[in-house]
Amino acid sequence: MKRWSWGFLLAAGCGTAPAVGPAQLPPLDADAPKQTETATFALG
Amino acid sequence: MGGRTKDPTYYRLGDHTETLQLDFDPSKITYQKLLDIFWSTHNGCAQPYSRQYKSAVFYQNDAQKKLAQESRAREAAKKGKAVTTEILPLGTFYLAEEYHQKYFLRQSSPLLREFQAMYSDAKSFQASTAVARVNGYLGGHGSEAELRADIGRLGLSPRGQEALLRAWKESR
Repeated sequence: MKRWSWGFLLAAGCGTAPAVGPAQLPPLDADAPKQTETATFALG
Repeated sequence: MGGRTKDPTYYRLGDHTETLQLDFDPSKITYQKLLDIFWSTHNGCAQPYSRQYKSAVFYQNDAQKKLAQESRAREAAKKGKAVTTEILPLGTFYLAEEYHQKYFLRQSSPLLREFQAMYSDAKSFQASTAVARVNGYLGGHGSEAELRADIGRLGLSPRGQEALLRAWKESR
């Protein structure tokens, strides 16, 4: 994956809640939404 | 994504295209906004270097298809020339091998170790919002204000936070 893909993901505030216990998670992950849609892109 | 080769790998990609997939909460960011970011972060008029590196939007449903097609038409009108970015139905998404995930974070051993201690498996590590953001910051993306707003919520130790700030500044 090319370098700027990471910037895209950062700009989009991306990520999903990982499947581990909330006590272990960084606050950003614990706050991650449970109801989501999926978007898929190829950036060239 | 997008090809017919089953279980592709980096060295046996077949007819697939390198793709990123993200889950989002539509009450916090809309698909339209993601499309806007998509068009602002790639050149939709460029001739694809190869099938591996072509640009495309893979739509999940008819609503996404309509928005994607409309956004491509706007981009073409704005640029005044044909857009090569394809609008295609979503197929099977294959995750890249683990060593391809979070590239910049993998270059920073202390930060990588902190995150690996937080996640019990590779899948959780890859899906983490905090990990994705740190990887983006380590790549020099984002603003200092965004980084300072996030830094206390990433699960990093004080030393890790300092290392991230330092690395972000050095990457600019």
